[in-house]
Amino acid sequence: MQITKNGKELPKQVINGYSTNIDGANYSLSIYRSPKKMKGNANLMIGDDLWVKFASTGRVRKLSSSAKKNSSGGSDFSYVDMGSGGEGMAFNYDAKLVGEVKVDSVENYEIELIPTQNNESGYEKLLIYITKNEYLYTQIKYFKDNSNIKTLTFSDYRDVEGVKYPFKMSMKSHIKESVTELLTTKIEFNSEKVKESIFNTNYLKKIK
Amino acid sequence: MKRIFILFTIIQISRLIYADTDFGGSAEISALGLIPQNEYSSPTNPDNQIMQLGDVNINSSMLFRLDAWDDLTNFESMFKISYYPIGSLLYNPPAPGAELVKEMIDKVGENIISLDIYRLFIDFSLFENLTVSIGRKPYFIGYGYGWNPSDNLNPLKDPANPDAELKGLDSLSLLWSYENLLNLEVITALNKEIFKMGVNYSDLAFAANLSVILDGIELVTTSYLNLNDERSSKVNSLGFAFKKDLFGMGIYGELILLDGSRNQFILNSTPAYKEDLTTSFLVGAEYLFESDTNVVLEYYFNGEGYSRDERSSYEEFLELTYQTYGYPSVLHRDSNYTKQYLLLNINQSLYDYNTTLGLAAIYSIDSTNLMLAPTIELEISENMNIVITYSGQLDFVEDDLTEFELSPMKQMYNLSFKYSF
Repeated sequence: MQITKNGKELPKQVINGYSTNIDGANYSLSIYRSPKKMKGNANLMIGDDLWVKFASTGRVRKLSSSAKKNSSGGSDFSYVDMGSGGEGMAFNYDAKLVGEVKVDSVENYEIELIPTQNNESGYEKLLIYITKNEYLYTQIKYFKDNSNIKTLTFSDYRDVEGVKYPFKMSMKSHIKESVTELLTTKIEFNSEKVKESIFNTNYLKKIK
Repeated sequence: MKRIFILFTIIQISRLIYADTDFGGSAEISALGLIPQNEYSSPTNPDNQIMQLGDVNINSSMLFRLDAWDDLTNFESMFKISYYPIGSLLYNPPAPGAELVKEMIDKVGENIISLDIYRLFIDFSLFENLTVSIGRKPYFIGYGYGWNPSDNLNPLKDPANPDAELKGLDSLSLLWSYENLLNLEVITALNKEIFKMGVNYSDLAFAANLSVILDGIELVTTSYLNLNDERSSKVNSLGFAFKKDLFGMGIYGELILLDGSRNQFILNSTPAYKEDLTTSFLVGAEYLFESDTNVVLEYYFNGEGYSRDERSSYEEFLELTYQTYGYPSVLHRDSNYTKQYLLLNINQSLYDYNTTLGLAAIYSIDSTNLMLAPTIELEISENMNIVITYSGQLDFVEDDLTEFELSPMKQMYNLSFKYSF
């Protein structure tokens, strides 16, 4: 993950991410590998609950739900953006097809998502752009106080085990001079490394 | 017992030869400056004869971590090497035995390099849900930032010294977990340091922690059983803790019931433990604002704190022991001295400037003593940061029975350079 603030690149953050869905609930685990000061820090999200492991002491703390709206590791992604949280988009938002627009000369569906009562993301609404031909995410615009506060752009789609996946996701803030690029170097689907036992606060304590 | 422990540990370490390993740590050099007041004289340091405090102290230390793990086993170690110019401090103790200390310092030198083993333990999974741990392992119990009254296993938490929680306990423990719902941990801990003293069965203590994680709430019960008949600072106890999410806020509480006090009170000019049932509790709330400002507020009722009369007896005792033995016998701990405290902790991350601002304030409701500690942390590079801290004790009434009056170091600043590798 590369964060650029006021035109200056901050130290690159290397993260191992694991995610799965068990009984309809999303589970995600993010482990920081670098820079040195963040190495071994980890975030575990199970449904709407978020735990953080602090490598400096080894302590695991459950964060209050107010924390999920905030920046993850100083980036333009919030914890909710990183872990998707809850039972997924369909549970957290009511969707409505708004129209069809061109994004970078490609025909897209424009879909409006309004948060349901269960949603703790803090957003007012989302506008999602999905290509008409392959149903690939192109952009997500995040709105708060009637303003588009940030935009997530998906690019560099590659075929992995028959699944098209965006190897570059770029979140640009519209309220400050900041961009965060999430660059995927390797992805495995149905990986043997993703076991149910790793989405557990006891496993979180053992993370190095 | 010691040989069996060492052999067992070596066997477990040898299993990790081909495991994933990780080595890292940090080097820290700091300058602690005191702001002179009363020439550092206080009831705990009369005329600065005991601590022999100077205005500026340079400290340096290195922290090393070596970890290794595979699917079934986990080894973790953490060591700290510190360099103390402590010899000069010990040269002039007016206590009996000063000559002996002086002879010893003449042999080893004025500067002392110490190696602290903070952690050295192995976890191994017997079954998928059952893990055994042996060695010096940390146990984090409770939700409070300043105090953890539900935790009777670890030494008393000190909000002024967060590094203290890095050190683990010599223990053997068994953890059974049921999914991410239920954890039961049974711990056998040694009350003495194993490599120094060896142990007797009476030195063992048993603790059990049961935690339940439900949707939006965590509940914990703790219990502690001390086998030693001899009255000491370790007593049997039962504790409870919870954390609940409410309107985006983390609300938490802790309670402990103790079979007597763990600290001593002055009764008829003599230190003695209280044998009555003693209760302490804490309630707290934390909230992270969208501006990245994290606010923590806690109220702590310390059942083992001194009332005003008890503080009066204690300070007479300090003076008496100083006159009798040449040094005051200090029994109290700052931030645990009186019965009621408030804590306010504010942290503000300024990501655009690679800076974090912090403010910790601890106010004693009983003595009106206020401890303030603002902090600035600057990230200079990927590996290097600088921390500047001021720490000051203030009191708002003319009263000799406060932490302010007891402390020889009323105001200080610290400049710390830390390099992570």
